[in-house]
Amino acid sequence: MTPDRMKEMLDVDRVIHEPARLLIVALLAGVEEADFLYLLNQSGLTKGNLSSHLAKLEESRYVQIEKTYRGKVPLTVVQLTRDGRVAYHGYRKQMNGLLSK
Amino acid sequence: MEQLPNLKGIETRPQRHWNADGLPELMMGILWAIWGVVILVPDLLPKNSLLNTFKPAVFVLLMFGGFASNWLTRKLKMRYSIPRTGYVKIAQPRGAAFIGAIVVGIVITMIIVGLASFRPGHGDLAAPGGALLLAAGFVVGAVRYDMIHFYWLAGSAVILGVAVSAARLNLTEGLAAVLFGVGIVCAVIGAFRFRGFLRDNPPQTATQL
Repeated sequence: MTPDRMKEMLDVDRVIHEPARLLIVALLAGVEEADFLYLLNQSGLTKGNLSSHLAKLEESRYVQIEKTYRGKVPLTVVQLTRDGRVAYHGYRKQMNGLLSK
Repeated sequence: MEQLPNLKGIETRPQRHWNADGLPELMMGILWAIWGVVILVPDLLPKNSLLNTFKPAVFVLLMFGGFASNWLTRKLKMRYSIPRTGYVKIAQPRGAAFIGAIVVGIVITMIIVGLASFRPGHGDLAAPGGALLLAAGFVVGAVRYDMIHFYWLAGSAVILGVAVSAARLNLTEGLAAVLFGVGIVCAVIGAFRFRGFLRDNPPQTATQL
């Protein structure tokens, strides 16, 4: 393995690289926004696990979380930010490049 | 070699999720069946009747029906689907995808108009041609979003196209038959899927972090 390639592997975005967060970001990449229940059903994560990963993504400014109500029902709406979208597509490109070499 | 997870497959899940409850097919089917009946109305009106002045209203009604169906689908999803499997807003096509959708729409319209004027006075190729285009659209949807039931809809569109062609119906009658027939099949499939969706997904309350 060349030093350049090793450096490239070490430069992978660690926030997105974590499998659960990668799944969340990939789910959000195909939509404008989704709620907590949708992500819970689609990811198969537990509520606590999903909450903590979303908090981490929000901390990195990759997702924007809005707590709102639909009628009397509480609703947590999540959307990928511009930074998150750029980071996700960058990660995909980087990994595809690394794994195809 | 290690493989990345199928990220493309994950990204197309929302589209499958949107159709999972069968409501889009149910509402679209009902709309098409109604369209199939309504487009026959202008031909059924007696000549020299005052009612003929309302002919343009039929086309406004068709357009309005499309918007109304879309609105009603969203309302029903809000009531039945979102409390069960969650809310998701599909991204609208932008940039190249948006232009591509417009180009496909224009090409389809040109093909149908071309088929309608290919044999002036008969126009009996437009309805079978439209049915085949509809079938092609269903096949694309089935492959792209992995929705098997779209093959059934494609099959029904092909059968109706062939039947309309064999029966040598005129343009209006042919389009009415295709819209009504595919609409009924679509609505029935949608209704079965909706029933299965309600049975398999009880309402949940976990929507807050």
